[in-house]
Amino acid sequence: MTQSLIPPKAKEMIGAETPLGGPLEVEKGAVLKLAQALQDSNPLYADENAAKRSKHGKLMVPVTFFDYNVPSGDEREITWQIPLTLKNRVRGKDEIELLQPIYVGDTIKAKSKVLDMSEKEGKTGKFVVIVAETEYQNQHGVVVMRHRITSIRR
Amino acid sequence: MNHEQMYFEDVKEGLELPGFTFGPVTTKDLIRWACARGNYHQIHYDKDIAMKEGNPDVLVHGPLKFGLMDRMIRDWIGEHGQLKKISCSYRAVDVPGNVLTVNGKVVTKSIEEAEGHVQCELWVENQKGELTTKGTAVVTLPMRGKNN
Repeated sequence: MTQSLIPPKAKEMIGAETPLGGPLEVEKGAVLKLAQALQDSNPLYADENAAKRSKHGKLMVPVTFFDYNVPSGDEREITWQIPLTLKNRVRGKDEIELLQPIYVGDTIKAKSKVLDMSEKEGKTGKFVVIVAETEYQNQHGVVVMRHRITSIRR
Repeated sequence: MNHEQMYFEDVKEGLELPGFTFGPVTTKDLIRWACARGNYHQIHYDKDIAMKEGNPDVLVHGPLKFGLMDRMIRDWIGEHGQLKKISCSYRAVDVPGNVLTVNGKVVTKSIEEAEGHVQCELWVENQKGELTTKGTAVVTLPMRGKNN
């Protein structure tokens, strides 16, 4: 019988989560830097007057702004604690559900949780798939976004 | 935003989204994005480390390509559209020098709870025709004659 790549101690970490990290106040300049890096000229991210005239009334934030920028928003904070011998990590999938618009000036807190772990076999051998989810809440305690990340360990 | 507001009634299955190209990607582009996002994994800017890990060069961050997809869909839905869900899976790596073409099309549309929902497919292809990132998005678009 071949040994599982996921030892019992690792499996026990399904459900483990970080404390609620942050808060991070989303600053206009930080959002502008991301928009510039993506060559994104959307005025709702950068032009205060256009944003004021829009139905939103204020500058918005792209959904890909968060994770690494927010304490506990980076799922690796918890998934690197999983005691696996496999250290080579590749990001496989990103899934975002936006529950409410997020605006510049919002204060965001995040927590990340291990949702699932499974062993798979592909052309190049066996590997482990880890699914983690980061939940973001705003200054009103409302959950505004969920970001699920699937990573692969070989 | 370089176009008129898109309305639910204007959308048909198969309609192409306004795609764009990004690149040829430079290492500077990767560093600029990494700094904006706080992602300093060295395989994205240190060629020696990237190659030691078996890569042909430094790698374009997967989430940068996800960000480009988000840029396209947010531009398309305009001020009165709402992004509900967006996802992508990474199929192959891209490296500096690659020209990334971001594209998408409408897959289905439906009215749910009096809102116009549209589901789209998104993808990123490089100059070699390799589809390196594939995704989906669910958005709502305003409906004509309704107070959106």
